[in-house]
Amino acid sequence: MTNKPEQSTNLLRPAPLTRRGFLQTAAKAGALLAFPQIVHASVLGKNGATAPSERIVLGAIGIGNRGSYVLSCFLAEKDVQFVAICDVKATRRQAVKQTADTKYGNQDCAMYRDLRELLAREDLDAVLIATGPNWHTMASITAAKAGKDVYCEKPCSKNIAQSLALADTFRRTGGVFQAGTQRRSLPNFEFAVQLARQGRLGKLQSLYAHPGGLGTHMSGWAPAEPEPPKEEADWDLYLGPAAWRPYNNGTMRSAFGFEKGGGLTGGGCLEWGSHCVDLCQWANDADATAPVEYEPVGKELHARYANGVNLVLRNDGWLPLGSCPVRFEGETGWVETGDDGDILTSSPSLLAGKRAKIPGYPANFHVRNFLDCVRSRGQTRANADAACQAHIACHAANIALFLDRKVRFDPVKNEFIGDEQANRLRSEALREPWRM
Amino acid sequence: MKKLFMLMTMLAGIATAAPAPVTQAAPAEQQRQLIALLTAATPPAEKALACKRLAVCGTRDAVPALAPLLADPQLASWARIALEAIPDAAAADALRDSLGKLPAPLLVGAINSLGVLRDAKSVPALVEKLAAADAGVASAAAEALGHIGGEAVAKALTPLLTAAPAPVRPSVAYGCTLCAEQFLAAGRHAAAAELYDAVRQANVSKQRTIEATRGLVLARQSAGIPLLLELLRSPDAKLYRLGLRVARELPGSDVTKALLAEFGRAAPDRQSYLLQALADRGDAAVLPTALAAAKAGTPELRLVAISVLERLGNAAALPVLLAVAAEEDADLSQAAKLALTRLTGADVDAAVVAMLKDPDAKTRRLALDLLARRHIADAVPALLKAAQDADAQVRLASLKALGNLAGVPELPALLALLVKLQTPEELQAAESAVTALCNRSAQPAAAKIVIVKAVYGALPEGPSVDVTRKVATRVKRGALAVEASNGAFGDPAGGKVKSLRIDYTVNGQARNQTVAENETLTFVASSVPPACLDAVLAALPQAPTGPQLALLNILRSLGGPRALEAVRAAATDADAAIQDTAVRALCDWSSPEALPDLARLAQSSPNPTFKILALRGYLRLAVQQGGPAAQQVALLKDALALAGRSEEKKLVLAALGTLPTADALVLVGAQLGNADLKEEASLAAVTIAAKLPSPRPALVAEVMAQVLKATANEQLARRAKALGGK
Repeated sequence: MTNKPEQSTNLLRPAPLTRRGFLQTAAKAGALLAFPQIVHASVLGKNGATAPSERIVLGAIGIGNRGSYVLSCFLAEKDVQFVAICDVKATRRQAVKQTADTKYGNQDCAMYRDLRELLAREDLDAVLIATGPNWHTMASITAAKAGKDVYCEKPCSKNIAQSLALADTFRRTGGVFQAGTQRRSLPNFEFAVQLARQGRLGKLQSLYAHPGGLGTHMSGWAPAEPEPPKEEADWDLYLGPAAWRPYNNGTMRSAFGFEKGGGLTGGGCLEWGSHCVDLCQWANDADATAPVEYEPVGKELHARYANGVNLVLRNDGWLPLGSCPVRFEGETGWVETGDDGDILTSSPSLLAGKRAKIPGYPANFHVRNFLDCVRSRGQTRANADAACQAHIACHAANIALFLDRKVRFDPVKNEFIGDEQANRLRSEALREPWRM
Repeated sequence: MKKLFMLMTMLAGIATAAPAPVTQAAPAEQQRQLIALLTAATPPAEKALACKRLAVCGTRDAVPALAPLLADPQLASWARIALEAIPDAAAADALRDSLGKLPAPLLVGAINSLGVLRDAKSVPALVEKLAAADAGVASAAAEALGHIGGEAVAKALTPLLTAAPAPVRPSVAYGCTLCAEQFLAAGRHAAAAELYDAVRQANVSKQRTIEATRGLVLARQSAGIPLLLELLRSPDAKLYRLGLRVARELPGSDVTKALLAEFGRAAPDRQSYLLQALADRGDAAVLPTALAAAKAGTPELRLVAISVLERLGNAAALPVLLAVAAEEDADLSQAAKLALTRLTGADVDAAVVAMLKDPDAKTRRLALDLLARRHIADAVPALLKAAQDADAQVRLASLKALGNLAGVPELPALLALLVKLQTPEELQAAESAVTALCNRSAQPAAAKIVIVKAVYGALPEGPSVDVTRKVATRVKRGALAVEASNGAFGDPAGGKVKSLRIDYTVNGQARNQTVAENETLTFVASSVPPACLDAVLAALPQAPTGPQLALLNILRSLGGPRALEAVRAAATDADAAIQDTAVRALCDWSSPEALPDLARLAQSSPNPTFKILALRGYLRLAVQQGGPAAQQVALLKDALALAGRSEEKKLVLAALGTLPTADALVLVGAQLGNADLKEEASLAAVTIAAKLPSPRPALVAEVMAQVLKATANEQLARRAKALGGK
């Protein structure tokens, strides 16, 4: 089943920076970008095409519904050459191959069942990882250790230890990482964050995230069922780093929720918190740290940063601003926005400079930012360090919810203060042979 | 702990159809029960989940029950979940003891766990495993040792960089890198560099070499600059890319200096990337280079340079950015303008304000544009002077900027300026500025708003959607206005013009409003500060005719009883222009206080145009103010009596059609005999009859019968019949 295509020498060259690439996301580490910008066709070269030798060669790992959408964003970029798909399910491998081959008019898309074989390809520059959350950290780290840059869907980690390992590995390997938290690249969220960070709301007081469900969650050991052939669906690779259990079709089909949060904790707080808590982190200029206290209060989870700013995780469902809403409150004003793109503020004057809203919550700007950083080697919008801290905040909140009590966290030592019980929940052993 | 117990119960439920009972006993008792599960002949599912639970509550007492499971292929990973979590040396001891007993696949797991625990006691045993015949075991040992770190580890791993079998060497190299990283974190730069260099010299994969090279540059600190430059000059793509990354990481002003020098030597296609890397260092020393690059170079490099100036620049960047902003290249010009807007710093603001004194009017105009874009409030005194500039465009732009930036304290000065103006353009600009200033200063009235009903769609009869909850939640969150748009509420009537109708109460008083698509519905009026009104009223008596007209328009915008009084007085002014403006202001008045004035004008004004305008204003206010339907019908009845022309009467009939009351039906029915109005009256009558809240069969039948006689519209006739008309 597994294809082993000839190795290409088509390494990513240090291609000249194109005006297109620069203008589209103005890859600037830590800066708020000018976005989106209109670029004249004249600066793109002939039809905006990129020479094959300058294209970013991409592979994908674990492509289902969400992955198909993000992959379509990559395929729409003219400087991307998609060459290989890896999935433990044959139907998914074949579906992606058909899409790619149709686009390119050839039969070149290679298929793999084992990500290690795909990552061994020397010609790959980057991979899109959209497996279930069980695999996100492990696949990202494995890819980084193989010298690949990674765009990985969220939630990116199952626990605090994995969050730290992810950041450490990308620092060590020099790889570029983009968490699939695409709201960092959308204008309404960026505008709200600008208001908070530029002091236009006054001294920041409270940040509100709406993860849409704060229950803890676990996938278990479902009854054994006859295991399909590995070529059809590879159960061992599906489990990957998760503790062993017998094959069960329902468990395999629930990849999106399987082992999310690492077993004892997880659920909505990770699923949506990796977006909206992440946005609060960004608004508080806290990409290098996490809150120091977490406490369940009624239906909410209240956290506090060392700088005194409060973070409130609400559990009262979506606001009319669409999914994933956030609200930032300062001493003199507030702003609130969500996935419908609208921005509410305490005063109309705060809306000065607002850009046209973009309907839905597309990932194409985020994908473009990643590709630009693959070339420039700058930090992406949702780089591994920022993603690490946002996920730590979510995991710590989950631990407080699980223990149903207040916990205090040291974001320098990355441990709960004087709290053995909470500290036990920071990590979980991986099934052999997987390791971080 | 309640949730903990609940979850444990849930876990057991997932495990089997008939799980062993889990009590809410004290932790020690829980552990005893869980250990019993592990040691009894229970199904593996229960044992697995018992391991997970012991990860939370287990102690050293659980270790003897967990250790045997390390040899169970199904349960080994579950057992290690507990053993890694239990904070007791006994757990590591058990893992270490298992190293001599486990087969290769499970042995890898135990080794991995010892690496996670960074168990220094395991170093000798793990070093022994480096020689294992199984490459997986040896590789796991090498990486576990790397996580543990220390001199002994470095000593054990270094020779294997050359001696280990090829499949193991990548892990040996990775272990060395991990170990070196710990040396570096501990400040042992030389030891770290030695280890990194050993990896770099070894025959290992490219990626291991890259990791070691990065570490080596960082460990050497300033002495790593030559290697960094070597990377940046490398023809190898991966090494060059590593150079760009490390150029951002290696700290020190000497590093910046070296990179700047390298920038001058770099090929044009590499300069842009290097400049980005330099900027990411956040060192202001890059600014001269960025300034030069923004002026000359490839367009791509110039764009990067402009972005660098935007992020790190100061007032010194202004001349360059201003020059680029004036260029014809749209991309460059746009980027420069954006940078000029976003460039931070008080010195930048001061420099922009100082540009207002530039002898070149073009520069002064540009300064005004920037002042507005940057919201430089401190510029107001300079703007008041610039509003008297010799250049007409500068004067107009200054007035516009004052509207955006001036506050209430500056209003008297702005009005003093206004009353001296003569040209229509400047008067218009000043009028707009004063209005904008006052509106910006307005505060929403404190009020309790309750949303009763909100509907968005092709109202009144087309497809629509109930958006009450959405609107109510927004108001609950503090919003005082709602935009009527598909973006906010979806599109319930594709291709049709939609509107938003909201019924609500303000402090218990019922109101309703309807706004068209893409308009904003505001729930409570904002109140302009009294100081604004005082200043405008004070300026009115002394103002010549032209400025007085502007002030009357401003008063119309401000509204309120005192403004109305002044406008009402002006409506009888001897000066025809003043009278005309004042009457038109009354006709455009935004609150119902003007209804009596409008009724009077509509009835008795000698000017036919005023009569029409007044009636239309009356009608608008009657509909707009909302309130009980009976009250609105009464006002519309008056309007119908005041209307002299069919055009206005048709408007009244349309408004009556939105009020489903018997009185409205009677009023409408009375117009069915009017040849000019019968179709509009028929439509209104059918609409009202269809929505009457309480049945009035006799009245409806009578009016519908009249509709059948009056209308030539077949659809209306069918509806009239359906409603009982004969």
